[in-house]
Amino acid sequence: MSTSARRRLLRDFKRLQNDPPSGVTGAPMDTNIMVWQAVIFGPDDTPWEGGTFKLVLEFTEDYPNKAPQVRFLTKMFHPNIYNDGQICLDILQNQWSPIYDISAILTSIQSLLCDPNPASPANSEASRLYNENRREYNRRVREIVEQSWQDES
Amino acid sequence: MSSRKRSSETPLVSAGKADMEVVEEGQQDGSSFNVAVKSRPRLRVRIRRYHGVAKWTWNVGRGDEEEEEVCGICQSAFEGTPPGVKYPGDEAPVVFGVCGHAFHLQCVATWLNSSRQTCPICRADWEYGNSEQSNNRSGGGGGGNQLTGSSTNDSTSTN
Repeated sequence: MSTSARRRLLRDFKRLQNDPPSGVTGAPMDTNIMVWQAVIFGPDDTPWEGGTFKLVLEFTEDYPNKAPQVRFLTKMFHPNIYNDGQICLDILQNQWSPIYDISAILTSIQSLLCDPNPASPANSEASRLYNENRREYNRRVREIVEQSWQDES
Repeated sequence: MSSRKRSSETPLVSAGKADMEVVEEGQQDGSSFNVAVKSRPRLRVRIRRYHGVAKWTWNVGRGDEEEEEVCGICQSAFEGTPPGVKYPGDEAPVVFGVCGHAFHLQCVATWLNSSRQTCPICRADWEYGNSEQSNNRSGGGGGGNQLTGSSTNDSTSTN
C-alpha cells in the first residue's frame, strides 16, 4: 500500500543511507515502514560518550504534517526525558515542521543530550542535579552509558 | 575515381537517424571534400523533418545549487509529482509564500490545513505570494514555469 506518508518515509530512508548523519542511525522495521528503530550514539568528549541509546519512532499517515511519536527504549537520565522514554522536545511537539525528516529528528535528539532545556523538565531529579550538582549529574549519565551496553539483546 | 565522388543525391547520413538531404556545393572535385569539412563545412543542408525537444523546469531556487531542487515537504523534485497527483506540471504547481519559500501547492495546502498557518521553513505567517517577490532570476513571471527549448538548428544549418 502506497500512501504519501509511506512514500515520504522511503525517501527519508534513501536519504539516511546516501547521506548518513554522524552519530545516529535508523531503519524501518522489516514488516512495517511506519515503525522505525534508531540508535543515537553519545557525542564524543561529553559524559554521554560511548553510549548507544535505542529509540523507537512511530509514524502516522499524517506524516510529515504531524510529528512521529518518539521514545527511548534504553533507560535514560536526562532533564528532558521522562522515565518511560518519552522526550520533551519542542520540534516533536508544537515546533514541528513538515520539512523535518528522520535525519533531522535524530540529530536534534542527539544534540539535546548535551544541551538540555532547563525550562521544560521531564525528569526532576536529573534537572535538579544538572543545575545544582553537575559532577553528580555527569556520574549518573556515565552510569546510564554503561547500562546502555548491557541491554544489547 | 568516379566511385569516390559523391553524387548530389547520395545522403551523407543513413536514412532513419536524420532525415535530411545533403547537397555538395561549390566543389570542383570530390577529393577536396574532407578538407572542406575540417575547415568550414560547405554543405548545404535541407531539413525535411525534425523532432522538437523541450525541457521545462519550475523557476525555483537560486540556481547555483548542484542538488536537484526538491519540495521540502514531500521531498520530491518540484518537477515531479506530490502525493496523489498523477502528472507533473500544471497539476502540481509550485507556489510561493510572501517569505519566498516554495512548495508544491498540494503539499503546503495539506500542511496549512493540519496546522498553524506558518511557513514550514521560516515559520513566518503564511500568505501566498508570487515568484517575483522571491525570485532573483530574471524572466520568472507568473507561476514561474519556464520553458527552455533546445535548438535543433545549430548543427544542421550552414552557409
